[in-house]
Order: sequence, then C-alpha cells, then structure tokens
Amino acid sequence: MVEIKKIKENVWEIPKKGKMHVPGRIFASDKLMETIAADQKILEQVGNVAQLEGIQGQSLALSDCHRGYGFSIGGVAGFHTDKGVISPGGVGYDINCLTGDAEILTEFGQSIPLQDFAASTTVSLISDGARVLQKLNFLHSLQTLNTKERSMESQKAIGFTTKDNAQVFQITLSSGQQIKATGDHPFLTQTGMVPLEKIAKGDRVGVHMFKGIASQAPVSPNQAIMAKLFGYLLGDGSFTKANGKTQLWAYGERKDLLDIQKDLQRLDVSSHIYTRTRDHRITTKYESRHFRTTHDELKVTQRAFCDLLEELGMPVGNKTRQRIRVPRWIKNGPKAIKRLFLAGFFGAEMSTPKTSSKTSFMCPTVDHNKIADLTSNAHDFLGDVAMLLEDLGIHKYRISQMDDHVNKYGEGTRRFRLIILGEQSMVRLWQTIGFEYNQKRSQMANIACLYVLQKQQENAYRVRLSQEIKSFRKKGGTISEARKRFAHRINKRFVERHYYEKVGQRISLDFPSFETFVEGKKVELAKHGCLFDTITHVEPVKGKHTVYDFNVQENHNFVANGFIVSNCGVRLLTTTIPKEALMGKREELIQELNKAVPSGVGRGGDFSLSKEDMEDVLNKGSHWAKQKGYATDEDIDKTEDTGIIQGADAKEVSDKAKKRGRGQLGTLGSGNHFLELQEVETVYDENVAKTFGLEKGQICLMIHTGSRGTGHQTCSDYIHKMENEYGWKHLPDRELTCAPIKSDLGTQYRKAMAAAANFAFCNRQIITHQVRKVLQENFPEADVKVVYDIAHNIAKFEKHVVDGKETELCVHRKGATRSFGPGRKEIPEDYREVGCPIFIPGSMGTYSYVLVGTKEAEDISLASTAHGAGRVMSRSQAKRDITPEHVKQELAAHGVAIKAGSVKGMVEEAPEAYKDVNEVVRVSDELGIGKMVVRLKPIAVVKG
Amino acid sequence: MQFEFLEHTADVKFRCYGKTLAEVFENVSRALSHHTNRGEAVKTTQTKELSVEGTDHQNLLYNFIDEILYLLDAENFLVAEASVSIEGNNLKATLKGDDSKGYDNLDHIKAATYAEMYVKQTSKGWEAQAVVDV
Repeated sequence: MVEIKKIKENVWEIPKKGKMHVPGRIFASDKLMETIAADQKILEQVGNVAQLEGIQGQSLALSDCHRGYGFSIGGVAGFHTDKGVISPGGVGYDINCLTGDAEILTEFGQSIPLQDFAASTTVSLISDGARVLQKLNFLHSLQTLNTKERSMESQKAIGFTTKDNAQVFQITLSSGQQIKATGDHPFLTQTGMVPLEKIAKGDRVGVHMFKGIASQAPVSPNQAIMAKLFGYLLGDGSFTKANGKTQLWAYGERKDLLDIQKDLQRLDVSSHIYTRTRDHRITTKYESRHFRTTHDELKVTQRAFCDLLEELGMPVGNKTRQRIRVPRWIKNGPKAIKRLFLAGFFGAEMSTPKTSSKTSFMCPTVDHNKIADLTSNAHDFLGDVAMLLEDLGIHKYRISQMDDHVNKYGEGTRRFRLIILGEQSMVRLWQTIGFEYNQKRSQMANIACLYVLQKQQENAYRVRLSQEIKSFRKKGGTISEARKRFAHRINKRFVERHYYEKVGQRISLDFPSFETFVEGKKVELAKHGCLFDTITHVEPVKGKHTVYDFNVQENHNFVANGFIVSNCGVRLLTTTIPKEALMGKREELIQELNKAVPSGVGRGGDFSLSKEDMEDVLNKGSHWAKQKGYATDEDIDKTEDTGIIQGADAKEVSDKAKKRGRGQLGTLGSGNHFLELQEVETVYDENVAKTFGLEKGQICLMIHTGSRGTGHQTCSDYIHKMENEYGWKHLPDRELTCAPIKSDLGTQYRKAMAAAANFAFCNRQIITHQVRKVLQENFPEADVKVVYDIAHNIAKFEKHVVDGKETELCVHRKGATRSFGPGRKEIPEDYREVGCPIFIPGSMGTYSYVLVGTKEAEDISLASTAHGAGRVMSRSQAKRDITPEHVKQELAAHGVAIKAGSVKGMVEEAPEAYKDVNEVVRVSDELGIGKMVVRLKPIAVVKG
Repeated sequence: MQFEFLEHTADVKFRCYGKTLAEVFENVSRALSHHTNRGEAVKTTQTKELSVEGTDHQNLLYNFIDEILYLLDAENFLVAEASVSIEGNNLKATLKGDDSKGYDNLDHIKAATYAEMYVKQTSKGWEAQAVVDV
C-alpha cells in the first residue's frame, strides 16, 4: 500500500520515501480520492515519477488523474533544465552502500577508505536505528564521472549514511580489481546505472583505473593546486623577467590550458590563452631543423602570483642554464602534495604510454636538458624526483645521460633521462601518480593500466593452468584424460605443451595488441566517458557488514519519456448560429461533420500529404495550414504558441513516423477523441466569458484530438533510442525511460516532440477548416471563431518559482492543462489581462467547462489543472456493465443527439465510465488552480 | 486460452499464452486484431512478411506490436493473425490480413507501451502481458 495523507481540503500527499526525490501531491476531493486510491497503481506511478532525477517541487497529480503508462494520466512534473548532468556519483563504482574498505578517490588524487569518512566532522540529521544519516562537514570533493560531458569532474559530497548488518557481494573484474557492495548498490554499465543484484558474470561495468595516493593528511585546495601547477610549469612553463616585468607562460594543448586556467581562477589569478604561430630552429647533435608550429599558450602577468611562484622556488629565465632543485615545501610536504607535483611535472615532461611490441610497453621516461657544467645539479634534480617516487612506492628506475647539442651561448648541453623500470612500477606510476593537466596522457595511462592488469590476470591464469596440468600428469593422468579435463578452459595445444614439456608461460597469441585495445577503449571513452571491464565473479560475502553511502552533489536532469506523446489537445470554436436554426438541421449536420472529419483509422483522411508537405507540417504547424489557405490570421493568434512550437525539426522525426502521419491530417482517431456541438448553458464569470467571446445560449464546437500516428511513433522511436543510450534497469518503470534534457539525444527528442506537436496543432486547424466549411455551407451567415487551442499532453520550458527562486523548468503535462494567470506573455494578447483559457471536456454527453488560469496555479500546481473527467471504469467493464440502449436513452433524455463510430465505442466512453466532471472542476475552482467561467452542455456528439 | 483482456482503467491490457514463445507472439497478433476490429473476424486476403529485432523479449514484443500498428496507419494493412518464428531476439512472421479501407469502424490502438509488460516462461509454456495506449 502506498501511504497517502490528507494535508488540507482537496490536497493529499504521498510522503517522500525510498528513492523518491520529492514527495507526491494529489489534488482531489474526498470523493474523488476514494476512486483514485482504489487503484494503487496510480499512487505508485506518482511515486515513480518522484524518483526521476532532477524533479523539482513535487510529483503532481490532478483531480482527474487515473492509471497511465509510466506517468499517471493527469500527472505534472517539472525538471531542472540547466544543471544538466547525470552524475553517477562515483567513477566506475557509484558511491553508495559499499563496504568500508572501498577506497574513494578525492578531488586531489587521494584515496581514502570509505569507512574513514565516518570520522569526518559530521552532524547527525536522522537516526532511525539501522540507518544514520549525517551531514558532512566535508574536506574532500570526490571524483565523479559527468556522463553528459563524458569526462571526470569533482563534486562535493553532501551527506553520508551508515547501515549495519547488510548482506554484501564481492565482484571481481577481469583486471583483478575487487569491490564489495550491497545488492541494491548501482554500478555503471553501458546501459546506465544498474543495481548489483541485476548484474551477472560477463557483464561489463565502468571503471576508473587511477586510484591516487593512500594518504589522508588533509591538503588545502590552494596548496594542492599550487603543487600541480608548480610541477607542470617546471616542465612546460617559462618564467621571465625583463624591464622589471614578470611574465609567466604555460604551453600545452588547449583543453589542458583551460584546466590550468580554471585552477588559476580558483586562486583568483586571471590568465589569457593565446594562439601563436612560431618559427623554430632547433639544433640537435644530428641536425639543425627549421619548422613552423601553431601553439596555444597561457599567459599570467599578475605580479603577486609571479612573486609567490618565485618565492616558492620557480627558476626565472632559461631553465637549462641554472640550478634547479625540487623545493623543500614539496619534499617535506604530505604525500598528496608530492603526488600532485609529480603528476603536474609528468603531465608536462613524461612520455605517453606506448608499446614497443604487440603487448609490451616502453619504459616511461622523463627528459631533462642541462648545460654540461651543471651535470651534478641535473643528477641532484632527477634524484629529488626519484626520491619522491620512492616515497610513493616506486623503487625501480635509473638515470642515464647523453651529450646533446651546443646551445646559442656556445655551451655544450646534455640530456639526462629518468627511466621507470618494470611493469609493476609502470602500473603503480599510472595508477597512483598519473598525469595532471594532460588529458591525453591521463587517458592513455588509464587504458594502459587496464590493459596491463588484464594481461597479468590472463598470464596468472595460464600459469595456474600449466601447474594444474603438470600435477595432473604427476598423479597419473594420461594425455587424453588431460585433454578432456581441460578442454573447456584452454586449447588442446596448450594442454599438450604443458603436459609434456617444461616450457615457460607466454601471453596468449589471441590476447589483443595494445593498439587494438586502445581503439576499442577510445570508442567507450567517447561514448560513456569511462572504460569498461568485464565481471568474472560475483559472490556473496559471508556475514553481516556495515556499509556506507554518500550523497554526492549531483545535478541530474532528464526529459522523461513516455510522457510527452502527441500534443493531444482541445480546441473550442464559437459560432453565431442561433440554436433554433441549428436544432432544425441537427441530424444532417452530424452526418456531414462526420464525413468531413473522419476518424481516419485504417483509412486516412482527405488530406494525403506529399513528403515535402509532411516536412512542412512538422516544421511549421498551423502556419503551414495558413499558407495553404486553411487558416485565418485570427485562428493562428488564438492557438497556444500560435500553433507552432519553435525549435521543431522534422529531420529528428523518423521516416516511419512521417509515413504513419501522412494520410492522417484532418482525422480524429478513435478512443476518447471527439467532436461535439455544445451550447453555453451557465456563465459563472461574465467578464471573463465576454473576454473569451462566450455568452449564454451560444452554440460552440469542441475538438479533441492529437498528432495521431506520427506522435505515437515518435514516442516509441525515442523510448528505444533512450533505453539503448541510457538504459532503464535503474528506473522504477521501463516506460519512464529518459535522457538528460540537454544531452544530444534529449535535444533531438525535444526537436522531434515539437515537430509532432506541430502536426497536432495543424491537425486541429485542418479540422477547424473542415468544420467551418460544413457549418457555412448550411448557414452562410455563420461566423466560426477559434476561442483557443490548448495542448494537454506536452512538455514545455517555462519559468517557475522553486524554493523562492525563479527557475527554468521543463514541465511535463501528461493529460493536464496549462493554467497561467493574468499577465503571462505566453497568453494571447486579447486574453492576457484575465488569464489563459482552459477547456475541460467531460465524458461523452456530459458537461464540459471553460476555466481561466490563475496565479495560484503558478504557485501550487506548476501552472496546471485538470484536462478532463478522468476514467474510473475500464473499457472492458464498461462493455460488460453498460448497454448501448442505456447510453442512447440517457443521452436522448438529456437532449443529446449522437452518431457514434459504433455502438461499442459509445459504450466504452459512456458517462458512467468517467469521474464526475463537475466534481473535478469544483476541486480546481476551490483550490483556485483554474476558475470556472462557463459550463457547456452537449447538443450533438460526433464521434470519430 | 490464446489471449484474454484484463481490467485497466484507461487503456487496454491483455495477456497471451502459448506453448512456445512464438505461439505467444502469434496470439498477441490475434489479440490486437480482436481489439482493433471490435471482436469481429478480419479476413485474410493478403499476406506480408515481417522481420523484427529486439534487445530482449520485452523490447521484441514492443517492436512487434509497434510494427503491426505501423502497418495499419501507413499501409492500411489490418492484421488478422501471424505465424511467427523466433530465434534469440529476432522474430520473423508471416502476417495474414486485409485492406483496412474495407472496415468502417476500427478501434485504433495508438501505441505500444512498456507499462506492466512482461514475457515469461511458466510451467505450462510461455506467457506475455502488455498494455497498449488507445
């Protein structure tokens, strides 16, 4: 049972629980609540929507809500548009419910066991026995993957939870890495975040190979930034003084210089990046070369910063001609500072990981040029660097030297080289020190690390097999038995070799070359921003464990799909036909209207569109109709968004969707879509009614339809694209598949959705044209005007006040009508003083209402109110319980004529199958989220 | 039983049965036809070959329904039934049906949805459930 409580009259709340980001809120009277709560699925759906990332305020459901797919019908939700990233929190492993020994990577490359964060200064917020939620007074930001930018970034952790007695599982990857987590802990897979319990051996999860230094001594951000900057500038910087002016230059790839610029900004140091073309002449001991290059260079002139750098030990002038040592503040600093310095220096000076053969790597090297006279200083400097390496656990290296060119001062120079030796040192170097301000090298180090570890695992496996085969032989196993026994683990040749021969183990020929491996990984990086590794084991860990959970500050944000389908909407027309005259011709009119506006199911309508026209309809909406003579200027002015949603792009709509719609313009479709002749029966607000051009006794016509096959196909197409790109297993309902609003796919979808909405506007316009034709053929004097045309199934970008701040939201209204109060610029000028018109059609043969939008709706319901009566009875139940005769009699008794598509169709839409529209509207009026203007009574129902 | 329609307030929910997965899909085509032509039989004057891929069984079912809806809107082909073969997540079907223009009073299915959808193996064979948007 979903918990629901009444907050005040007509307002109910589903308290925020579990994975909900916000509470749910339902606007309904006690009477309506009885029918709503009878279907738990509605409440579940409201709760599910509250779980979508980036949702603001509450997950709303209006008084006419009923069970939908994904969202409930009558559901409204607003999503943040700007902070647009999905940040899975941790890299590779999201940080959620992991065991305490999991090492967490911080912003400045420290790795800290998760359990140690518990010792941070914390403020307990909630404690309910098993779970303790604490607010962290947090020193560290954590490294996270920004899946939108597909790059790493740091984010603040803002909360921390511990839970005792949890059952945990250990997963092992093909690179040998392991982690323990609870079954519900989400891992990044290529189809999105998936809880561990749904992941199996053979699945691939995201990993970040860089681990950083296991050191907890806190470092201040300023100190950390200075250390890595200092390291980089010592390599690829130039620091000069001339005429009392100090200048600092850094050289590198533009994106790396931008990273430096960002860090400098954090120190309040401004810098500029220039692009320069330079001529170079380089003389080496072999040749003299002349060439031209284009470089990006970053320049800092801020005096105070330059002075500080000098004080910290940065050499001024030509670095090859003076004594340089690693400054004491680094040598005596905490390990994190040593690492930052080295990573900065290596980012500038160390070789990029590359192989010398198919699978073996060249040793990483750092070159250091000096004039021959300073040979001993060069050794001292590289010795300093080596000591730092030692401190960080890298012990195998050597320093070599060779003579190099003679410089422009006529001095002989030497190239000194620090060489890191052995695969273990290499892996440790890449995993714990890495590179700063050099994205390319960082990325390659990450890939190389994964490659080497996988290779080592593969090797270890083969060594184990070799030993097993030999001991099998010792125990008397024959070669044919051995072949059979090991057949599923390794090829026959391997078994034979290791059975008979005393051979060493070499890497399998099938193991990919590093080059091939890199190609594959670059695709992953481009697509997801991180690498993936395969799971080799998942096993439960015995006993109960304490697990920890971070709330990492995230800016999540999605377009929820399955929600915004077809710009289904309602248009109201007024006529000047006197009621008596109309009643005289009622039966003929029904026939003629039915012919002019077909349902079009399986047959299409009269407006078969060429390919080009279809594109135009999608891009231009009602404006296409105007160009073709099917709309007046006034029609256009009185349509929401003037019948064209900007940003529509027919190119983003599939051919399939277009093909479905080309024959359907000017058709109603079936189901609850309808065309109804109505009379203004009661006027509640004379002034507003007059503004809308409505008066008592007036004959009106209401049209309810959407974008037909094009809209539905567009929705289906994008659900598939989004589930392929972002997955769905992390969502409470597959129908809620979604993408970040500002991602490529989110953007494409918005363009396609706008195009489908334009089709709907145009569809209602063409129907208006057809209706006008029929009415004017019968009543040549009749003036047929559009009151308004509203969409009630659409997502729109609107400004709303959230927590006291004006915020741009992407508001999804699924079966809900926009309710803007007076003054909003979105409202047509003629109505702007009173608020926007709202139409709430009842079920077939019952009253419909015109309401006016309010300021209150903007305050409490994201400017939304109901869109109809809302079903209470299933179609099959209606078919069982209600007879066609009964419906006909009821309608006749109320003076309503009907030409339904079929007797069966009529029954399904019978008034008994719907909530009482009067009650739905009353709730809206009482809450003030849509005030009653007039009530319309049906005269004739022309179903599709 | 080949298929049955279940209670759903606003949309149409149905469940199909079969000894094999392919048979379940065949019954899905029958259920769709049953709904669209309001319980009346659809003539089998034409055939069409259909090939559908999916990422999993649910996705395959979604796409299969989607294709049948597409054929009605875009090609005026009203499906009566299908004979289906499935390998992994690839489906091939021969659809039998009729020109929809000869039918006056069809009840349109707008779209397939994932709502309350499942495809599962049971002790008796296979079973699938779907809600379609009408």
